[in-house]
Amino acid sequence: MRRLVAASFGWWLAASPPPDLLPPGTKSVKHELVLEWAEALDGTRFVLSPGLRMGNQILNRKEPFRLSRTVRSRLYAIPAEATLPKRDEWLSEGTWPSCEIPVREVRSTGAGHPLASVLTTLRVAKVENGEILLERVAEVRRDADGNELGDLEWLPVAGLALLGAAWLWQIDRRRRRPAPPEAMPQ
Amino acid sequence: MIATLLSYLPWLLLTLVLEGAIVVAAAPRGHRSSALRACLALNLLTHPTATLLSWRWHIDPLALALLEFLFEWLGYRQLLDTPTSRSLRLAFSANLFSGAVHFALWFGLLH
Repeated sequence: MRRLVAASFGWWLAASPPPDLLPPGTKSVKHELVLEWAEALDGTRFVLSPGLRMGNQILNRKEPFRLSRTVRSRLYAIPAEATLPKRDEWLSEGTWPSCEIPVREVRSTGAGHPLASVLTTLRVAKVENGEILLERVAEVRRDADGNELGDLEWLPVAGLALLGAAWLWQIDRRRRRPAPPEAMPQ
Repeated sequence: MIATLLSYLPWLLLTLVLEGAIVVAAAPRGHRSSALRACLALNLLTHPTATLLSWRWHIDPLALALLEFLFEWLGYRQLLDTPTSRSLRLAFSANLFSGAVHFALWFGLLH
């Protein structure tokens, strides 16, 4: 079964463009996540499967990590005393409490956008009934110099578009205006 | 906000210069100033709009480029009172040239 899954995955990869290929006019963005959990859950290991390097990745509190680029990652809560499977044997739903990562990874943006990195902080609210409940605590977007970007950075660009619309309207209005009558000779 | 504007403006100015040059070269004599005005106004609307759609909703840049071209084609037809074929040539050549230069620059910056 695993060989069939691996072979299917191989065919899918071969048929898809490389995940690092950027569409023209875009640039890459580094999107990292950080997981927090209460001390009461310290007896639990949180494992990302698969992680960025396609194996199982044990997450440390507040240590940045990245999601797999080709397969949807899941987060698993495994008791500390349990034996983890081999690194390249992905965990599967149903074996341990788990959940999908509720974050849409930002991989690229327009070439003119100053965004260079994103850091999303998630917190484990609770682990029960076979599920992990995650809360999004914060998301910080920064430019290449490390300055934080606000939510209204699109506003000046929208202003330029409005300026263009106003100018077009003026040009069209002038075009439709009837020509002034010729001055009467005196 | 200022950082975003400063980051974006060079790309807009480049588009205005490139497309303006093509439109002035392709427009008949006597209509060059009106053609240039139309070109600058159209691109001042379409380029920021397409950029915002790409930034916020991650719409495919190539699809946006096609929409820009279609809008500018109709815009030239309306604003310059030119036949459809001439406005099509204007919009096509201006956008193709601008797109090619942008692609070359983007490729060069990437590598």
